[in-house]
Amino acid sequence: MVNNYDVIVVGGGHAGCEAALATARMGQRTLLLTINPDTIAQMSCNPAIGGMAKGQLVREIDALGGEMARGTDATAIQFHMLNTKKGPAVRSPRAQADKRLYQKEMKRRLESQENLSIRQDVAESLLVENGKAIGVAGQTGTHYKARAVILTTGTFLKGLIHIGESKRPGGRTGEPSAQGLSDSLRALGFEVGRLKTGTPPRLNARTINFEGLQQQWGDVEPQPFSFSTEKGREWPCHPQVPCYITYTNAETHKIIRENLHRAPLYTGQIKAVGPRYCPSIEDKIVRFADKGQHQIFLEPEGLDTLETYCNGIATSLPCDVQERLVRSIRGLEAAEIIRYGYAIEYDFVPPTQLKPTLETKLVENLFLAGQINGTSGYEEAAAQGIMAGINAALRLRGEGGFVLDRSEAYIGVLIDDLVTKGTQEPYRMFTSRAEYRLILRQDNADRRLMKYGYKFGLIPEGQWKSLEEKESLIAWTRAYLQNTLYEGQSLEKFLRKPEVDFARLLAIDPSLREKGLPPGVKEQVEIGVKYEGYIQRQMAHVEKFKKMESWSLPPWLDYQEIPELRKEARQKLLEIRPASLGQAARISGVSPADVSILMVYLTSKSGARG
Amino acid sequence: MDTIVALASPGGNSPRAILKLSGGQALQIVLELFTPERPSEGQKPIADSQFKYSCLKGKILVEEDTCAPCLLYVMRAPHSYTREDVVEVHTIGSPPLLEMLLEGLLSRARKSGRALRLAEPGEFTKRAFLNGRIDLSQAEAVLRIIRSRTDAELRLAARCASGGGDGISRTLKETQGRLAELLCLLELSLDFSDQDIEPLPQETLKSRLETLHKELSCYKKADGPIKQGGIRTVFYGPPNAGKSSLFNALLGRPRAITSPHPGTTRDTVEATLTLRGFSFCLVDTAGVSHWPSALGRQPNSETRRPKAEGRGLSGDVEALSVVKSQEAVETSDLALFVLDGSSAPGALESLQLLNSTTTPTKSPSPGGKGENQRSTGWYSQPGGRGKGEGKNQMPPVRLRRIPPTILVINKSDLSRNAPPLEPLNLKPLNLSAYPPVIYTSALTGEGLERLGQEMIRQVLNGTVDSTPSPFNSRQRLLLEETLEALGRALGCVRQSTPQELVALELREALDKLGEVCGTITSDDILGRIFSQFCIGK
Repeated sequence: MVNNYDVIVVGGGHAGCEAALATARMGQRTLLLTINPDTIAQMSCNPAIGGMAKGQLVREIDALGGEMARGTDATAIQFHMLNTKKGPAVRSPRAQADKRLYQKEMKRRLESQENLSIRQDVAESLLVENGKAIGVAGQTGTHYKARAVILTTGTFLKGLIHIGESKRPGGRTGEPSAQGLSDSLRALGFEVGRLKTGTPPRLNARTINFEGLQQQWGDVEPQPFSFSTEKGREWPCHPQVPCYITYTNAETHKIIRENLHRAPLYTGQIKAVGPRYCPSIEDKIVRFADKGQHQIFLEPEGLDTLETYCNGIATSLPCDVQERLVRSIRGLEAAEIIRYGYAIEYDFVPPTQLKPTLETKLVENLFLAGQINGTSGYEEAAAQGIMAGINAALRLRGEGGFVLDRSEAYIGVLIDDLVTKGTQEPYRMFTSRAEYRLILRQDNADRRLMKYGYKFGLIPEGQWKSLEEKESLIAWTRAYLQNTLYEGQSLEKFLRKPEVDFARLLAIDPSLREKGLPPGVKEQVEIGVKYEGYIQRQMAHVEKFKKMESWSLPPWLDYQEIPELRKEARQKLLEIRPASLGQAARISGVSPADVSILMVYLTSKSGARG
Repeated sequence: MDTIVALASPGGNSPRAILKLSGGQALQIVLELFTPERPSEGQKPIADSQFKYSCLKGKILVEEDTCAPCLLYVMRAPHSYTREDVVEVHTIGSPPLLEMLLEGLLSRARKSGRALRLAEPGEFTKRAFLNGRIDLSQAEAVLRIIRSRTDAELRLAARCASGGGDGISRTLKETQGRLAELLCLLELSLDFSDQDIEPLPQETLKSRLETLHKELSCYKKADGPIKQGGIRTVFYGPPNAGKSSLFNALLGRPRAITSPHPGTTRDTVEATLTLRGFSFCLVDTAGVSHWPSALGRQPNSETRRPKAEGRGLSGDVEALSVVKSQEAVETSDLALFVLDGSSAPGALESLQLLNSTTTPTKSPSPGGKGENQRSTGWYSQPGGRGKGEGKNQMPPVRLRRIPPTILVINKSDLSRNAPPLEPLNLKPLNLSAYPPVIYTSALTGEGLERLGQEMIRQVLNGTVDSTPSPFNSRQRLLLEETLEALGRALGCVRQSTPQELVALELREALDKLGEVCGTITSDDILGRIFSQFCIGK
């Protein structure tokens, strides 16, 4: 039996799927190792994709040629565009997906991908030779050989599940963890840390009294996630269903407070740090004691199941307390729990040990993506997955790395934050993390990034052609608006007025109407015109930013040799080894003076070299 | 590259001062404010790049209707120090005039859309190096210049951030906090709009923005609270050493209130003094008594403040003035440690203390390990014999930084009655670095001239950094930019522009203000959100 591949991807979660699809599509013979093929692309937490800033990530993954957006379009049972009352830069798509359907759909897409093999095994250790990753040893005793390895292990590394006083090893509830792999990473010299996350209980909808609960439907006109999805007669693909909203109350809080001595978060049983933006219900009640109620979204897990996700009460309290607290909530008085909520602690590799390509600094041809890098969220994972996949493939082709910068994509912000600053808690994307938020919009992800997807062969010719068409129509329309006068001013100027929208232009200009512009073009032109001043201002900032980013710091740079650097700065620079002066400037502890000093030092050195 | 500007001559009053600009737009920027004596000459150096060097005589506009005579020296790229176009404005060396001129140039350039900014520390030299003017062997010198100039700037920034003597900067910091708070609310409503959170009403946003705008506008008034420049020189030492009398005597006018009673000065008092063309900003501080009184006088004698009725209140005030005195010392360029020469034993002990406080005279780098332990000596135990006076016990004053110090033995007129304190007596104290010692009498004026000379000497021999700091201009400029961004934010709110644009302006305002009193990052904003609001499903 031949167990020789170009790339091995360990883990079949959202990062692993995108990574494996990218390498296979870029012509690398790829093996996806998974503990259980039935949980490929499993949504371990809530059955939803997207949301604030995460929606932007999904659109970017799509523009690069990833699968997450298409998978969502094919399986979603509710679409909702967030922040439609606010400006375009903070609009984000979100969808409830049918959890089983999404999982099966993605699995089928992976199975039918050329160059991609799927194998059930548990990766026990990494095989490394001369500082280079050369494969993975499985629990079955099989040695899988490859030229590059991508680890996307999620919460499985030494996963420890807590429910009340009980704790047991597991990667997800009901699934085994991977015990050996993180030791193998430690042995190679990696620093390994520990994080915590959690989930809420899942209920049986038959036992929920929905009467009187606030219903929440999706958008009347659902917008697809993927730039490639056609809104034909089959759209949306599945019946759309509502979520419901209920609240905790004083009784719920009392139950929790009285049982804090049994909460692993407070007994010291859980030691790792969880996310501040996604606290468990016991944490919410302790930290925000004066808040009378907390919102809960009841989200259907799918069309063919009654299982319901209780978004808002993630908990690791003991089972009997979970029962009582759930039943204290309006509408859930008789609710039956199908799966209990739990907290999970897992190993992660602090991401400052990575290069911006997601390759490790320590071991060549070893890439890490997803929760192993300290992030949280399907979208964050998938974004790293596709980037790690592309970079592994480029590496094997002998080509330079692919790094998106902070002015190009949320993906750039994500990875730059990780490799430059590291993280103290599971990292989640927020729009406020992006300096160039006005430019990094979900509506223009194709215009920002599809060129790369096309270049790497991840975007098919046809889709590229239609983007080119869109661009030329946008250019034509901009020119038309500039050159056509209406009431003594150009149409462009007219459109700039707050009360005027594109539909108004179509109403007053028949020849523009006759052109039959597609909605995507109208949207781009309208945003481009209305926010032109702001966009130009951001572009000016971007230009300065790019200058610093393009000033690369060569690998031969010896920070020990520059006595003028502050001690703290020198230590940080040695640790992070930034790729550019711009990245160096973002490291905490590196002052503008240190950057100036580096600049002078570099010039003198490069002058000396030639 | 941006065009940069800086004062290129030492601070203080002098017959002539030089303002230097470097960069592609240097010439255009200056010529907008310049009127040549002979108009025919004016355009030559711009129109004709054949002129490598030229000198123009004329007048430069300082403020509306106010001109100053000046000489322009124009050096065309690459025939200049930086190998860029360089313009030097030689004009009268008056600090207020130079500051006005600097601000005039900056604001004019900004209005006409030219990229002019204040030079970073050592930036002219850095450009000279980057453009190949200075050779390789000089690179290290460049690095050192950047480092030392930046450290000086950092001290200035720290002075501002810590609130200095008058607490104004502290309120600036508070204003910054409120600005951050508003951005936090705005980001909350943007990033977490899908959560159970009250949206930020447009009206609240508007009124808060207006308040902030008003608050910040106060700072930039001409007679506003931004501190005067000059070499900050602090008077410190035990109470009743005659610091305030000395301060007044040096100024030649009764600026600070004095009395025969110890503890008269409670707050820091500032005044500007010009000595031989150098500007000093004198800072008088409240005396901090510190000797444990094992030797010398008992604190209950005349050194002790007359027992005030409101001892509790007095204690609070005293605690505050200790903190203020401490900050004043830490953020100064030069320190005068003033002792009562009429009381040798007390003075001796003070000296012992000075010895331990000034051991690390050099390298005030914060964060350096071990410095904290070494720089403990200046204890504040008013009249305290350790635990005896529990209720008035104050924590020991730990100075994080001691500026270069002159030891002033005051009341030399009275010292006839006390054993003389000769420099010889200092030996057993094991001072690692002798501070210069000056004997003065604020009463008779004896020794004042020598003190002045010593202060100048400290500046001239490089112990004290006297390079003119663009900090005041920079502060005002940054405040101006902060206000502009806030103004735009208000405009957005009034027109109901989407909130993310308001957030953009607020972010810019916060960044500008951050350059004055400390950066607030997007992580800090997220931290505020998570600590105040229950986020997350």
